[in-house]
Amino acid sequence: MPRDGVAEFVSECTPQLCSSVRAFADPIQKTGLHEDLSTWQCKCIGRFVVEDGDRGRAEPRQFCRREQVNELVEDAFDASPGLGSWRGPGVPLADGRSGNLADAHVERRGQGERCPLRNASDHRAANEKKAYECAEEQRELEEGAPRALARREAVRFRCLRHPALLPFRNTSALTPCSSEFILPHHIIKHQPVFALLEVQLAPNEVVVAEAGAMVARASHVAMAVKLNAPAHAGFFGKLRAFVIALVRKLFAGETFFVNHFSSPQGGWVWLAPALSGAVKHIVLQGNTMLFSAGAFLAFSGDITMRPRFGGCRSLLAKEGAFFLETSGTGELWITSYGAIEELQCNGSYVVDNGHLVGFDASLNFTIKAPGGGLVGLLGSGEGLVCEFQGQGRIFIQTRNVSALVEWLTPLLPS
Amino acid sequence: MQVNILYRSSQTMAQCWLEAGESMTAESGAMMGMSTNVAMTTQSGGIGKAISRMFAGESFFRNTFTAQGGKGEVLLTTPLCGDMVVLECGRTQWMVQNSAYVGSSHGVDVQTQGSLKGLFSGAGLFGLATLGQGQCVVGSFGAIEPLAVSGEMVIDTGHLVAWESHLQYKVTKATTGWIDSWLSGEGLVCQFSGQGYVYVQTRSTSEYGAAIGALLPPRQA
Repeated sequence: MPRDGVAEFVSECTPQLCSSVRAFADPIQKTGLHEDLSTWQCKCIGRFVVEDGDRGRAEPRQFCRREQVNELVEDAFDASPGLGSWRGPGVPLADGRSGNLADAHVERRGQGERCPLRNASDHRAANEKKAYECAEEQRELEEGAPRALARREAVRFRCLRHPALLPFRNTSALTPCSSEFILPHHIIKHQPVFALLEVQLAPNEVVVAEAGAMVARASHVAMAVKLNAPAHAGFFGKLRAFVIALVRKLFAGETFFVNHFSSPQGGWVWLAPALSGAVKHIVLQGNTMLFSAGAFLAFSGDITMRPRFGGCRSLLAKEGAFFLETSGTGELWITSYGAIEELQCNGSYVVDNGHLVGFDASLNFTIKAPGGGLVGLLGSGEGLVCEFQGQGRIFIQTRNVSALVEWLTPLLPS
Repeated sequence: MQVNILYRSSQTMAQCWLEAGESMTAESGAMMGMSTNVAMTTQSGGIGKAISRMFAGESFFRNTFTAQGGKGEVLLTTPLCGDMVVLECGRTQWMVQNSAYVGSSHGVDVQTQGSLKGLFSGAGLFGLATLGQGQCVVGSFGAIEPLAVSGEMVIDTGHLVAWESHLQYKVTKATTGWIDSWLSGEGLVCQFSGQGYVYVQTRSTSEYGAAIGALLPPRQA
């Protein structure tokens, strides 16, 4: 039975295709599940995104609800009985099909006791049951001892890593190690306070992360310290990058260098920001976004980052004089102090400048005193606000570092 | 002793239930509440041991709680926002990062171990090693994630909480060169090998401190 490995399908996959569920839904309609089914299916299921913090509003640019993803996956399964070929070594089912969909279930029931799935509704029921069992198991694991954890390891891996189950899972106990099952590209755990980003690397895929963000990595994944310059930059490009890095260090409150993680055979890396806060996954599809200093955690793909001077108005804003302008195609993970809320600006919107994380470059903004005039500036306790104009997304953080610092400073002993 | 870990992963507390006559040990200051039939005694466990604990970044004294005349309950917390897990000691013994210790059941002896390797591993010059049979509760800054080491794995020193003591580890540069390691912001890392579990915390106190500390005004003398 031919089996596509993790490597093959992830490297074939483009971020635009699969990391938003809208993109995920489109090929189903377009290709109608007939052409090169296995590869296609892999692409989509392998790359779609499970994020804890997603509440999934149904706006066009959002990731859609987990239930919707789930339906899509199930529909894909139902529409194609022969899908077993790419999903690892199959367990033969009663009706002769190979069906890994049932693996987790079968294994939980023990050897020799297999669960024949005959039709779509059986699949669905089994899926739901597995999801429930996984949740139960997860609960046990959280409260249980490490030994028990080890004992259940084999089952757990199969169970939680099953692509069909990904939509069900919020915080998983996914532990990186080699697996015959297809892994999601990334998972964000422990949202929104102590978020941890776990990224799976495809062979030769490069993930660029903020210096100091690594928590752990597979030992065969190489880490290289680099200036944050585009790969094709010449000497002057590098020099420019060096100057930019210096400027970033001085003004943008970020570190000078970035770390490149990659491995010829693929691997994994865990990343976390320094402050207590969330991690948000953002897909760039040729559009440009601006982020405040310190919001960058990691990116993969063809993304360029450069500081953009926000003008005198941004000097007034506490967020510093520079924004990070990111553009290109790929995936980006940003971080915050506090949770990240995504707002849709239709027309205009006002955000306290200390809470600003990032926004679409399609938006214009002006720095203002809320309430107008000097009294409003001094009396409202809001300091300055940013007023946005246009259509686009705004990301804000629910806490503010400078407020913490202001509160902390008088408490320190002299 | 039975331990329930509640309010994970940022505001965790450990609820320890003691049988009649059973006792447990906890880090001084970790007790948040206890039932009235639990007697608390403060012990240094011998001056030598106490001093070595101080070197390990722990308190000089540890408190012992004993349930008298019936079952008792002791609630434990950590000073910072974070997570806790229960380590089962016995067949597997654990190495614990020195500030992670919260409490342990009667049968577990938590010993201070000094090593030069430990100095660089982020576990401090002195780490803690469990000995005996029972449970040990450890706490963290940030959430705790179990990491199954199978083969080799690299972990940032500041994110270590505890690891199975049979795992081999060496402290190495984060990348190939010293300068690169320093620039990378990772500094030194631990390279683990073997088969077993390592608990990592998703935040590092030193990184957090450096990030916030840079924003604070300089301390006046």
